[in-house]
Amino acid sequence: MNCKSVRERLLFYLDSELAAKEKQAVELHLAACPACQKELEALSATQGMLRQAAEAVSTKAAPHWVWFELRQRLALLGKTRPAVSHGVLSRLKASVSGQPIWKPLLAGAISLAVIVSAVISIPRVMGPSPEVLASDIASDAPEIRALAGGEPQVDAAKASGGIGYVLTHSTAGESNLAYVDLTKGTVIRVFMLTVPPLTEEDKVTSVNIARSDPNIQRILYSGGTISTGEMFPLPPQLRLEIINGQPVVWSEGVLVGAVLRMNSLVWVARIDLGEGKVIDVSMVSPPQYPTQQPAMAYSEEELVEIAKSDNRVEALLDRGAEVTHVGIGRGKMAGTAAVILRLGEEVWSVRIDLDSRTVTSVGLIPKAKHGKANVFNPE
Amino acid sequence: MSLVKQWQTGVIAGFETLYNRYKDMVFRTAVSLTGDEHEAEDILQTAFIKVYEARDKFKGDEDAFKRWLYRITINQCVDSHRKKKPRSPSFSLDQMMGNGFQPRAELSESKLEVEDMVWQAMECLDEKHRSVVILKYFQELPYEEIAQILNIPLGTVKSRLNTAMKTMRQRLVKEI
Repeated sequence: MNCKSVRERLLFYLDSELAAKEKQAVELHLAACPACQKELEALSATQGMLRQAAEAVSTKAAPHWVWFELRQRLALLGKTRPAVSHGVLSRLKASVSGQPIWKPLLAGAISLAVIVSAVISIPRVMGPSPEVLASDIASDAPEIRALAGGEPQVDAAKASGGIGYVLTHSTAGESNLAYVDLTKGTVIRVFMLTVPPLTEEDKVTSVNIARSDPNIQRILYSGGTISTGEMFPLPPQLRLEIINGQPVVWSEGVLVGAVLRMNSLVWVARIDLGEGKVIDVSMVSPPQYPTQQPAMAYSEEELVEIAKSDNRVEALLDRGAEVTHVGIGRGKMAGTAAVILRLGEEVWSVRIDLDSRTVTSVGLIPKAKHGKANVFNPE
Repeated sequence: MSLVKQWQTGVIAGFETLYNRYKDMVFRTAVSLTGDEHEAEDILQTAFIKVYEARDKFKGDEDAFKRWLYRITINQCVDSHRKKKPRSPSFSLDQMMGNGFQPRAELSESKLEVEDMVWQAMECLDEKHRSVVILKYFQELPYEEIAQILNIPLGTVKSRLNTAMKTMRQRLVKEI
């Protein structure tokens, strides 16, 4: 065996991949050839360096929030409902396209703030505990206040391994899960929890459930109407737990709001799709119910057009930003609308004054990356 | 019911268990191939989205699943690398140091860690060769399994590894 054929086999010799005869021939050559011996040593040293680099990588672990983000992405892709408990997982295969929670609310109606505020009622943990610290950090964080459109409501807080997990909701019913660093007192990451819109099947099932309810039957017998066109998903009751050191948000079920109309009277029924029953039916009193529906007055496209009239927004769009959310403000934010743009990692909020139909502010909603907990800049 | 079957019937718990079992394998492979942990996080997510989407199409047991997952991960890394400009910071050492690779003596003078030297040398391999090196030395897989994962003949695995290691040796070990 000459040097050339030996060198072709050195790697496999080191990896014990040669047949006995070949191995013997290589060893015979090596014993008499210092040049090939050096080559063997060099190749062995290269393997050693590779294994050293490999050892450094072998200690790396996938960050625990990736699972959470993955669930959210699956939800947005329409593959699953986000934050859904195992009990209703048979529903996950339903094809739904991800939409922010308030969009269907917007299309449906009106004074749902009352309903929304009644839905999530997990009491805030009190006392000098990591949970309280976590909820305080989250409540004061500018990025969470920006997402909540003011003071966020804390629904639940948990802590594990120096990290706090805080579930909050905004006045518009949007839920967020914040990761906070309890030592540094800063927010590490915020996830927006979204509820996908209802499928046609969900709507038909909801109508059937509604029609079987005695209270709704009375309205319908009196000439009232209910249609699949006026149904919207309600924020589900969320539960936060720490399992194996990781936060898991559970949904208590699928709730549907359905509008019933009779002449100028309007009712909203809350339907529990999972349980197959109507939770309650409440009349929307006339003062709360405007003659002109705001949802009709401002289409999503129209609001985006108003946003685009601003130079800053135009510049963001030119850079490749995409509109991800459009919504009408409620509560303290009534009279305004928000258009949310995403540009890579950046999330921008564009506030619109609905009276003047002008952009009043364009702001970056800061989002920290792992390991850079202090990068938030409210400006 | 096997874990793979659970996942295929749409049981999210099965999918979650598969994720927990293989997340580090995917993440480490992606870190090795891209040199960028943030990119590896995205690749991990995208790989498992593909897994979720393809549950009706996959045929095989958990060993086959593992090989398939490796393949998805490597393809994602290659796609990500093609789309990405410029190269990730972890791999930008030779940009920082000027043109080309430095001989070993100069690297020693600049006190680069062995790991940095390895990553730097790995940069000059194309994806085909880098994948074989990663699967062999970072994932410690036998040649036969690498051939199955990459869907190439055993002889091709060996020739790619031989070529890659010669290149690495030239970059890393100037003279002994």
